[in-house]
Amino acid sequence: MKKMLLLSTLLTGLAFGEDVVIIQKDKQFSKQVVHLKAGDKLVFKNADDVVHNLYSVSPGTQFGSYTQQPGQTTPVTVSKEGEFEVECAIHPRMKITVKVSK
Amino acid sequence: MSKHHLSFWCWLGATLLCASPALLPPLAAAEPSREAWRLKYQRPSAIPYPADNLPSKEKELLGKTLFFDPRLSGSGWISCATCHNPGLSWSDGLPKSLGEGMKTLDRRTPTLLNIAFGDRMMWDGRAKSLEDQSLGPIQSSGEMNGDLQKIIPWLQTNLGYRQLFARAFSGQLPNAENLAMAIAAFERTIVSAVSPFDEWIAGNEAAIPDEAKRGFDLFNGTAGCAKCHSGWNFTDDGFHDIGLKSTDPGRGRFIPVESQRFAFKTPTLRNIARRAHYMHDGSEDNLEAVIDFYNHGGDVARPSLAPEVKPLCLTPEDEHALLAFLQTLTSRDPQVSYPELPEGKR
Ligand code: HEC
Ligand code: HEC
Ligand SMILES: [Cu+2]
Repeated sequence: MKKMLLLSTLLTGLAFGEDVVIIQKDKQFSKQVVHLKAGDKLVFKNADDVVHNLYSVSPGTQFGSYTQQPGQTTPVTVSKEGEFEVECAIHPRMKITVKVSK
Repeated sequence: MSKHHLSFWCWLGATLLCASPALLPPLAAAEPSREAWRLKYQRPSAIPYPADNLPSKEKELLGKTLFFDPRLSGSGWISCATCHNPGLSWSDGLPKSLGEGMKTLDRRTPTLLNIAFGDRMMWDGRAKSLEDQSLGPIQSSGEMNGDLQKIIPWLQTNLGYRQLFARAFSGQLPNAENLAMAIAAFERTIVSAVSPFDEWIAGNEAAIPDEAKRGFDLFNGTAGCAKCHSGWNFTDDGFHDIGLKSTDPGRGRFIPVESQRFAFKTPTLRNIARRAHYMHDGSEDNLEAVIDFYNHGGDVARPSLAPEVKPLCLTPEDEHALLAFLQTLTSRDPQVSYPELPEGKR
């Protein structure tokens, strides 16, 4: 599982504009920091049996707020460069830093 | 009593759902998973400390002394221990906290058991750490109504406190920062002792009755309690609206996300049988009422209601098993002795 994830992020790192997948499992993100290029699509997959949420705690960012049902996949497109902290509002121990470059 | 606050829609929902077995998860699925669930309740081997406030015996003694000293309050008769009373599992047994001037506060006093393992502090998570939290109640007009501008100079002139601070903080005089650090260091020593449940987790099959084991299965399976009350401390450190009638906005006051309206922190369930009343507003009087509340899917259906809270269709036997399980979480915690407070009038 971990290897597959690594492989998929490696591949998406090379291929521009592809999906970068982050899994939410056991109330944790599969990564603490994710690096993206503007225009890349971030995909969050809720692999838990509880509802999660995504919202940015950094002021004035492009990131909205998303509710994620168990099993749901949530695509998020980041169009501008920048860096922001994303948390689950329900389980604030779940944190991930999103870094978007040109 | 508890039957009456079942609203009609809630009752109808529960009746329809419970009557159609196709909508229910298969009951037999609970049993084979017991061993897997048990692995998730191992006690941690150590207390976590922040790197910038490592513990020492001297710091903990100072923190304990401050925790029990009513002279930090405006009136001179309320200490942290007035509300967080070790004899009552570090709470006060009241439905709502009673503060300065005998005024009733808006929320119940939470226990401090296992607070070292917590994340955000307070029912609504507004404090980021224990250090962050400590000075709050001293100064809050409703709680201790103390004035740091007076407390710090008093501590600095009190010979006993000067010594305690000097020993704890390599010669430093008392100040707001080391005051907060000492109290937090003491609070991190408040850890639940081994309960019958922990003995069972560690492998002693005879430590808890069979009925409680069945309650454990329900807690993790059909009743879904462990979706929020997870792990050895029975909390996800998360914030949920579980459908209480209270209109306190909770964490919704500062987090602009729908699910956070009326949301409060998932409390630990350690020593829960000893800690009535229950909930942030003290609205449930006993554990039977709490279980009944969850069984009918909460009292108020609103958009923020956590989807994990829904009619459960537990039978009276199931409810009793859940109760038997919760009762195994009570530990005989170490006796706490009252510290000697440095002499000197305020
Ligand atoms: C008048 C009663 C009262 C006094 C005195 C008091 N507290 Fe509290 N304490 C409360 C209440 C009520 C809350 C919950 C408040 C809220 O969440 O809005 C609380 C919350 C806390 C929490 C957060 C617990 C959690 O689970 O998030 C900590 C830690 C705490 N108090 C420590 C202290 C310390 C340390 C002192 C003394 C400096 C103190 N309290 C004095 C009533 C009191
Ligand atoms: C959606 C998450 C969630 C689920 C599922 C859940 N709880 Fe809770 N529980 C909470 C929260 C949050 C509170 C505090 C609510 C408040 O005061 O506003 C709480 C409070 C409690 C309390 C009172 C604790 C105290 O110190 O006041 C008990 C007891 C309890 N729950 C037991 C259970 C049991 C038993 C189940 C399963 C039938 C369960 N919970 C399911 C989140 C949950
Ligand atoms: Cu979450």
